[in-house]
Amino acid sequence: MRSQQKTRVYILVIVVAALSAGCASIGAKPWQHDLLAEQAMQLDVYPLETSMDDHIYFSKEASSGGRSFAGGGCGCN
Amino acid sequence: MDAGLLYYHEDGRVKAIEPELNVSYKINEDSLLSLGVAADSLTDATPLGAVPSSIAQNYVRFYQLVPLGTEVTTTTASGGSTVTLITPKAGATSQAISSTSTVAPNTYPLDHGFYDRRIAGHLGWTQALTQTLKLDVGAAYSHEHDYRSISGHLGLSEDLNSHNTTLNAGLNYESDSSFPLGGTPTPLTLMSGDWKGPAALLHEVDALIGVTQVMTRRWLAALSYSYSHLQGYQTDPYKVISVVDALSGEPTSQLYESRPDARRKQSLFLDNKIHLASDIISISVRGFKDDWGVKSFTTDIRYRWQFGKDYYFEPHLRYYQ
Repeated sequence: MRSQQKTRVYILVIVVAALSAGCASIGAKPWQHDLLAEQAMQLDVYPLETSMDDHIYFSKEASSGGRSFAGGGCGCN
Repeated sequence: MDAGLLYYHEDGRVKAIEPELNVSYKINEDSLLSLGVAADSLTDATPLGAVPSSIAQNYVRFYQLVPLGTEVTTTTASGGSTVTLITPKAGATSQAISSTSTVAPNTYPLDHGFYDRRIAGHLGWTQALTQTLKLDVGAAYSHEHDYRSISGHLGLSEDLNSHNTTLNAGLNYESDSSFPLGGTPTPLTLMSGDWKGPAALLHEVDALIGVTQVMTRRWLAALSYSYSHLQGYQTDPYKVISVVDALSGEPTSQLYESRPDARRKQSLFLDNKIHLASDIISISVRGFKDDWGVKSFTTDIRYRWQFGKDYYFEPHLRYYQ
């Protein structure tokens, strides 16, 4: 169990490191925010869909939250 | 304005229908008002929590409270169960009717008469305080025939480095009240159809801190840590656990389940959005643990396949362990 967790942490570190590779300078110049300004590039594009999905996960799983406040607001867990 | 309808169905188990509507109104350049309403309908069967037996098992629960001396004329309730008048305690001003249902041998015990409806609403206000500092306040309310929840939140976010970095922090408080049909049972007591204890309360405080970073022109990343503390009634009042015979493994009785009063939860969440030529990949991972011994790891991947300007197809893969 413990070795599985370690493996997961290693995978996470490798993924982040791989994604970071080549970033000589982090960030984008103000005139380079064109793609980031697109609606589809927002972190929570469709809050309604996210809240519906989270409601199901909250009622079915022992874990909740992370993205924002877990706030189940129902006795379904 | 954003509207949606959720339909969820598990074969032979719970069925949920949830319409939801969100409306956002931009008051001016600095202020945004948002409100939303939702309704749930949950029906069909849910597990009672007990184990199957090789012989038929009887499950009893509170059905109705009636004035003393009421004659029971019906013998069956919804789901084919039998109703029985319970002898009142000395000095009682009312008496309870219990409902008994039978679970067939070697069958997983389910509650077939399960029905729940919920209405919920939330209200939010986002206000730009300066060019870079934003305040977010909100409140939410939800109501079921046996549960009520009220919450309020407050959040602040600050843009740094020419809008390449955003720091955010938030606090949420939630107060829930559980008033189950038949009253709140005392944990680990024998299942019965009698009237039980009064409503039970649950208080929850959540805190969240996070950073969102523009990594490149095409890559946005966000990392957040959240901590929750729950204090109060967290037991499911309708669920039971089986006491089994040590030798035969057969259930001998059913007790109401018991969960601890306090729970501390922590999670670390990393989200990424990567813009390809026109498609967008979203990858998020979440690590979660609490002091009840729950540890989980969740990976969520979406690929937004853009067809022209207005249409897209987005497969979604989620792995939870």
